[in-house]
Amino acid sequence: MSVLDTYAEEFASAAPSLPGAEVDWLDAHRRASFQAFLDNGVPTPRLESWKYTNLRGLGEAALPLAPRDIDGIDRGTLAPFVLDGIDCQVLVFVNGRLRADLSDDGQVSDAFAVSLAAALRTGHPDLRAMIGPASAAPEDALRSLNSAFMMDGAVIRVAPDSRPSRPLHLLFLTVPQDTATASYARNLIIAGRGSAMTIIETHAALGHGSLAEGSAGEGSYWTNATTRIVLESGAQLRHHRLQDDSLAAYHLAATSVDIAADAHYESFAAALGAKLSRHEIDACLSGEGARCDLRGIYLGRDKQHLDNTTQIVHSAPGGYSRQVYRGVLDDHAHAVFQGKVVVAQDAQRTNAHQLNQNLLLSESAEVNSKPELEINADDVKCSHGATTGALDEEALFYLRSRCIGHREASHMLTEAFVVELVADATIPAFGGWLRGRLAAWLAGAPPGRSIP
Amino acid sequence: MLEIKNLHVSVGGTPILNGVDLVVPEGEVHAIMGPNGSGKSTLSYTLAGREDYEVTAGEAVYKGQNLLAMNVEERAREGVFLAFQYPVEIPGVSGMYFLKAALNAQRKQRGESEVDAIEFLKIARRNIKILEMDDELVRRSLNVGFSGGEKKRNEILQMAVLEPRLAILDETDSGLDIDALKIVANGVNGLRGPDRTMLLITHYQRLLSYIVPDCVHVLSGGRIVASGDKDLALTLEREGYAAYEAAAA
Repeated sequence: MSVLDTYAEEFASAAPSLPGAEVDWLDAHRRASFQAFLDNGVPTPRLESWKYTNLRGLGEAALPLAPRDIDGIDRGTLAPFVLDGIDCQVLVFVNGRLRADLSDDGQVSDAFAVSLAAALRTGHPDLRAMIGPASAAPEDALRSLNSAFMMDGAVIRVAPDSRPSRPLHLLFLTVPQDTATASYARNLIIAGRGSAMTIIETHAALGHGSLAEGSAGEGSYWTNATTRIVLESGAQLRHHRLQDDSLAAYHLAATSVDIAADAHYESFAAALGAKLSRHEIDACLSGEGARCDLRGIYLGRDKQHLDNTTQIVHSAPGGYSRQVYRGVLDDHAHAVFQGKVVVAQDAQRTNAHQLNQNLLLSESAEVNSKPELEINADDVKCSHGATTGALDEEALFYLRSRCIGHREASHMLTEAFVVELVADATIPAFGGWLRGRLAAWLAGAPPGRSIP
Repeated sequence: MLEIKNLHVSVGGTPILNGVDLVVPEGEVHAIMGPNGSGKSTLSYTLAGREDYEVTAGEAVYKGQNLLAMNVEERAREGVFLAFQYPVEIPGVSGMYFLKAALNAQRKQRGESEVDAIEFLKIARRNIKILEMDDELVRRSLNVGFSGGEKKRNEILQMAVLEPRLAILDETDSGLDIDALKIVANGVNGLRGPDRTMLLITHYQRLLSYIVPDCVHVLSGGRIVASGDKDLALTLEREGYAAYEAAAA
């Protein structure tokens, strides 16, 4: 049986129990998307945009969906993943499905957030447009697979002109099984005209002991997460994302964003976990004066492979985009940054900058940094830059000459390399929490927490 | 306290120090003066432990120990402090966080308990006041956006907090206006004592009017070519280094 046959078998057995199976348009969308996946298969390095990231490790057969029923998790278990010092509305997804018993009530005055499964049951009016048509593009094969299998996710609508005081925290936890499983999350977010909100998205693993010890081979799973975001005119959305999956996991995520006139999307994406991780962001600045900030950090060690692939399309005049990604790589870690900026003919007065900076702590670590500018308008300011280097020897000497040991000095400088970006790009509660996680990373702690 | 014998040092394959002999007894302040390129900064970096400076011959004995066998942080913890001519800017590392880490590493070596945040603030504030520094400045990223004078004061602040046994001040006077020089000199003089030895490395006599040394040495061509009391500095100021440069060549 070929690998695609195993996907077909898995789809045939899973489809009847997927949410919205009784909704005709959705069923048709799932089938069309699945066919698109079959036509294209799992992306290989033969595709230009997958040149540096090889999914061979995903295996020779489709992974079964992660099981629904997981015992032993209560709100106490979640404590390490929840932000201190700030009141968030938390939606918890375990193995890809909402756990209402662990989540806060989704109905609040200015924004509502429900699970995709619930939205499908109640026939939410935005769903069909937000899910959109099936894509036949080979680059979209994993998104197509997500459309075919989407199990659940968050559906969020921020009311026009509202400013919800509490950030919304979407917490995706995977509990690895004896054999590898897959979760397909789909989030749909509409930031209403003139609204302002912060959404935090965390992906992490919960395990029974072995995970916290980071033993190889165990804790393997595949997270396929797709998020679609629409900012209506004048909306502001801050989106903090943390990928802190198990070091045995595959994390493949795509976030696509449409930014209307005078709206501002601010993304901060941190990748610390997973054996192989790829986060794609496609942002389209479709209205005049739209703004987009994409910032991120990635920290890799061992043989981790961390890929950030972004595409910003300026399709309207007066748009502003900034990208800053900083990475720290140790051991044999491998990072990929591919940042593409497209300026359409009509998008005059576009201002677009991109910067990728890498700190290599080992001679065996590797980075592929690939900027790409495609400019079709004449009145634009666009630039890009990339740097890759080791720790500053002068700075190390200075710290060591003040009694600070080599290891601690290296940690201080490594933390400093990413911490300013974190402080600039995130709300204090998230930034503070992430700093704690960075300190743990520097001390060698693996991602994930065990279930007591 | 510090005994340097026949020290030869090369930087990038080029010999810079060509047999330095120097003895600095405990509690004394010695000035090392010399023209540009005479090896003053090489001497200070070598004593502090820069790894890319190659000692090709000679020795340096500090408190009876082989100084050259210790790495940078071991020397620092044993009480060697270099006030840098060009302090390094380190974005993202807060000055206070850094200084507390440094102090606690120093205390640990001395068998003392670590100071907590409150205790540390007390120590830091007392010295910040003596050096007439801005509290806010010290909290910011280490040396980032500091003026030349602020950087030099920050070096002396670190020295005051770490209480070294051997302080090497490399061109601490350069880039200071006269008011700042007085403040820095005042800070340094306050740290003089029977158990603190100092090496003042300077091109000009000016600093030595405010920090009066016990002894002045002239470094030229990578060797100590003359030694004397504080009046030697005045002679140098008047007559220049030409005579010594000729002697070294």
